[in-house]
Amino acid sequence: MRLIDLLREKLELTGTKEGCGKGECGACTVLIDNQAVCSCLILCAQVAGRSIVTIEGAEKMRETALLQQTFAETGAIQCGFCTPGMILSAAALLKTVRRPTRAQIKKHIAGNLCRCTGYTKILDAVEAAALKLETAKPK
Amino acid sequence: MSVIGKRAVRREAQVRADGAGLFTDDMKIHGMLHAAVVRSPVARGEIIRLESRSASRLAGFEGLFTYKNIPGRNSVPIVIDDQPCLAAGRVNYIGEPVAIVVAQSRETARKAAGMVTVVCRELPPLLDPLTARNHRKIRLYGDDNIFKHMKIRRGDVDSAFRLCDVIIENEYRTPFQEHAYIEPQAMIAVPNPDGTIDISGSMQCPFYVRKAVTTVLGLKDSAVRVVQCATGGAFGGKEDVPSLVACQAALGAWLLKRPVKIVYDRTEDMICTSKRHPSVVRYKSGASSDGILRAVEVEYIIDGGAYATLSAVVLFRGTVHSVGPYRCENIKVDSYAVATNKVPAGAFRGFGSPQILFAVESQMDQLAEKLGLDPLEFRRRNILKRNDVTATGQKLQYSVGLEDTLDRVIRVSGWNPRSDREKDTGFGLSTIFYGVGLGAGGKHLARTGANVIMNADGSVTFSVGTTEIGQGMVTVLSQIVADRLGVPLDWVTMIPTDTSRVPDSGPTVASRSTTMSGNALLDACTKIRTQLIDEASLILGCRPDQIILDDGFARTETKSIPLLEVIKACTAKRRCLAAEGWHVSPPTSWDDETGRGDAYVVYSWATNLALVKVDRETGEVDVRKIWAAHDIGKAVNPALAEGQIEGGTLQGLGYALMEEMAVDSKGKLLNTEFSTYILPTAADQPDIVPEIVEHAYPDGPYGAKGFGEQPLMGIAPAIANAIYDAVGVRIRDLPITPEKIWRALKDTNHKDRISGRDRAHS
Amino acid sequence: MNMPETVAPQSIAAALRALADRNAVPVAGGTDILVKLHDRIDKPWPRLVVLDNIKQLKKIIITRGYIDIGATATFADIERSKPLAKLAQPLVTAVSLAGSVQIRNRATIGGNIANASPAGDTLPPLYVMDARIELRSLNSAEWIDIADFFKGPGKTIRKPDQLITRIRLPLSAHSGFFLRLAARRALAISKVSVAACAEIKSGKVTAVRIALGAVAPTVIRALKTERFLTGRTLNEATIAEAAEIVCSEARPIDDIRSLADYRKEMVGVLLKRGLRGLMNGSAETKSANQKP
Repeated sequence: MRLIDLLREKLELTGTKEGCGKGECGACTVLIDNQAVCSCLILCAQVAGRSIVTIEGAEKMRETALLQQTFAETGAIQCGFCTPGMILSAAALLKTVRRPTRAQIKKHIAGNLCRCTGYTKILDAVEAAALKLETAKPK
Repeated sequence: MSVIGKRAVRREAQVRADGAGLFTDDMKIHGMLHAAVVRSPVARGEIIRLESRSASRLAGFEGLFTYKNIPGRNSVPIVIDDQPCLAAGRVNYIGEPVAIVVAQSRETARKAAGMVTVVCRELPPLLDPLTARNHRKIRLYGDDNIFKHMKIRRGDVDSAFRLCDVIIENEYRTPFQEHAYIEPQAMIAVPNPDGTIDISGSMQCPFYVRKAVTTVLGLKDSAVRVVQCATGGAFGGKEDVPSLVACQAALGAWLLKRPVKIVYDRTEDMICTSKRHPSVVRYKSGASSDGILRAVEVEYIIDGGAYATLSAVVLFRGTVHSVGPYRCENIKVDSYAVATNKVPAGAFRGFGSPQILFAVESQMDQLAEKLGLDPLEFRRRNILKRNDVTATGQKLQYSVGLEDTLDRVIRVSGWNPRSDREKDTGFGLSTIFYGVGLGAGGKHLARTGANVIMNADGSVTFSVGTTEIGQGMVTVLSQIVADRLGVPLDWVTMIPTDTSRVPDSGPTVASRSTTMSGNALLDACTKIRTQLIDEASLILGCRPDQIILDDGFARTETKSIPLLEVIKACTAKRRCLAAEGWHVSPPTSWDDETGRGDAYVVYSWATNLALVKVDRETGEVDVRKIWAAHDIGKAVNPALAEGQIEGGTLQGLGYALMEEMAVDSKGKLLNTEFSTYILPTAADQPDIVPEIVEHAYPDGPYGAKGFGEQPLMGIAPAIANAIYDAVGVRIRDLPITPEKIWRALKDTNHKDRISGRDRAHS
Repeated sequence: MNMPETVAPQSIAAALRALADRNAVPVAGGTDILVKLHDRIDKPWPRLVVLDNIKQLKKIIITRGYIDIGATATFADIERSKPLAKLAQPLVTAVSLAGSVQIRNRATIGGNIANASPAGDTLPPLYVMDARIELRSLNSAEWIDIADFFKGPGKTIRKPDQLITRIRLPLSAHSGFFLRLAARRALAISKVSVAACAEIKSGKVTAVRIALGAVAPTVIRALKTERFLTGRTLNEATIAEAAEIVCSEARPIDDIRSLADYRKEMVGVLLKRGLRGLMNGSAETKSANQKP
């Protein structure tokens, strides 16, 4: 069984979306050990015992919770279908690079297609979240 | 403090960010079955039989249905009634639906559908609209394979051309563009024991879906209820296609008396659903040495595919816009929508205008150059202004902000067409316009309903007939309702669009939602507002006209009371704080013979400027920046307006440089996955600078006019013009790939090659 | 999804035993196989031998003289490896451009080799670094030169009961580059790619390897170009002539991604740019297409 089917059908966690089934759009992105991957390209047998974060777990992780906020505030959400995958991809970046440049963000979320926003406000939202993470850090 | 003009956060944003919003495939209904479609393997042929024995033996198989099982009429009505729901004998494009399989799981349904063999007698297809038009032997539609022919006749082009000092004549070609909404087509049909059926799914036009389902199942309007689910992108691709998808689910549900869901696989979606019409444009334009556009002669052919669907209306819009936003007294336009054996083309952001505007705006730059004028100056001398008359003879009485958008772009970008620039970089301009609403081509649909209920606790629920597809309609309309009723924005909620709640309100297309639904809501809210103000005037002891409703309060100059107090008093007196609203578009007109009329109630306007750098050796284009200024009447929510500009601009960039769906000699689409149909990723995104200009539309809510489609339309020619400015080659067929630029640069006979440009390159 | 049976062995030996069953297929990252699975729901599938649990297969080990990259080391692992960044720059560049972050976190070097696409991005760098591939079965273990590994598009000499276990790169003091052209800046298969590795002493090319991707049924070495450059001083004139020779060695076709005549000339353009970079001392140059 594919990981995306386990999530959506068995566990009824429908926040992870299927846009193409071939790893070419990123809508099904989840985090495995804090790395962004396409859940439509993973067999459950491949990830037995690993730690998986879906959008339903977003509020429990600082990076994703902040991104959810900035995405909403900045206008980075239009139809919303790419949003869960996009937030998780961006979160994976913010876990490893605290103040990414716009160019770094672009490269990092390039695997998440968005047809609505033109990406501009998504990039703004990731920058805003990075700033919040930075300023919230204890000195 | 008015909420109009505020960058209010989208109402659904949090739910989407949580991943909690339910799209169609996220929903499960008890007892639900799954449908998949058996499709034609050939572009044109006659079905001999279906072989389904092995499919029907699969565990979980529940049924196979063909046109013979259709209880109503085998037709999905759009404009002309020529498209069957399921092919009955003749097939006309690869992927055409022939039968539906229903099974217990999606996997089984798809597997079974794949195992059904459609045995056909293959016939030679017509794939080129130029050969299909007036084909002597093969009849796909009528006598001449022409779905529609339109004309504009004005002045005397032949004489005018003879007097022109410069004439530019060229052919332009554009390909299929695929919507590539990230959520594939999806529908759920639930039959009820009382003989009614509920349809929910991903769609732009619930009333179109209702019409299709009532037709195919032979039911009354009141027996079919259509509710729109959260829709993951549409762009026109979910205007008419969902009607067909809904019928596929509904047929299975009706015949098996079980809920049925259908979700298209991405490749299936790319092969079988509508796309932007490919086009051929033959454009001849002439100007006098004083820099005035004098004559335009156009042949505009759009490739409609196998069935008429929306081609006639697409043609209407393309024709009306075929001269561009300019004054011109001598015009001869002939436009054709032609039938071919390909998937029916349909609505896509711009609806027939991006193709023609690519030609128009490329022509304008070429004329300017031949005249010795820069592209900016040439446009300034010709762009439409208030009180000018359009190509179709319409006097523009209000809301003409084109020059303002041009000035804004120049100011913000600092562009000077005559100044030096970095080697191999170039700027390219386009000025465009867009008729808002359905226009004279869709008059009979140009009406919208709304209803609004103010509850006893002050919260407000409202319904409209248009749909949220990501453009932010819910928020914009909520802002309008909140402002008109004087309540805080978070007191207002929109109910999901539902055909049982409002009268037929037409489709969510043509950038019409803000004006049409907005005005219908204002109509309803005004009735409620009257009740509130009446009551407030009694409480406050003043005249009604002295009262303002604002942000949850009723105020006069000296006093203010919470609106809740007013509402309480209204409720006690049994005043009705609910109302229906209705809006009908102001009149439009069209004469088929001359192509004259007040084609649209109002136009939006835009200027685009693209800055590119071209790699001469590889032909690659790096689009560095695009400035996009749009006159939208009034930005009810500037953040959402910017979102439309940014998103549409990038879709336009894809159309300009990367996107095309190729067809082989048998009519098969060749690149039908995201790995081969190339859309821009975040890494391909240029800097986009959105600018909003406001020339109020007197009949628009708060002066607003629609503009959701406009941001895509002028990008391709702006980029083409910029490429010419950078390296001196002009490409007239989209997409402008590196291969085409490379080839043009190598070809010393390339028509537009200029040796020695008079502007210095550093 | 027509779900085939999967087994997830914990060791190489267990994997090899599973593969001895003729109806079994190894799955590394899965980014190629699961795409194929998606399209073929009506045909029975072999048993899938999932390799994720075999830690030994993921290791990147530097020894005296060579680097061993485990077959299931992901593109991301390779991208992050500091030793590889110093010692195998063209390979690191290639994987950093491939697909997307999500793909790179799963795609493996062994999988890329086994998939044998003529446009496979790890392949030209492996060619120019004289890579050798370890192929093991229950009863055998052999090292194959990469140039002998491929038979055609999608075809290798690997037998069904064999597993790619390691990729060995000899350490060398050469500098190199990897350049490619693609339709967009991410999630794009190469239209054409060029990798090279060269030893340059006092401006003279003493040794060079050049490999071309996506311009022939397999990746090919540009042997004529290599022979031309060896012993010559690297300057604009030799670079220009090398570019012309390499074009003649490319045998591309027209396909959905690009056209033959364009690809033919582009190998020359990429080689030129790469060699210029080596000449100027910068080991890497990037075309406009690759800027993020």
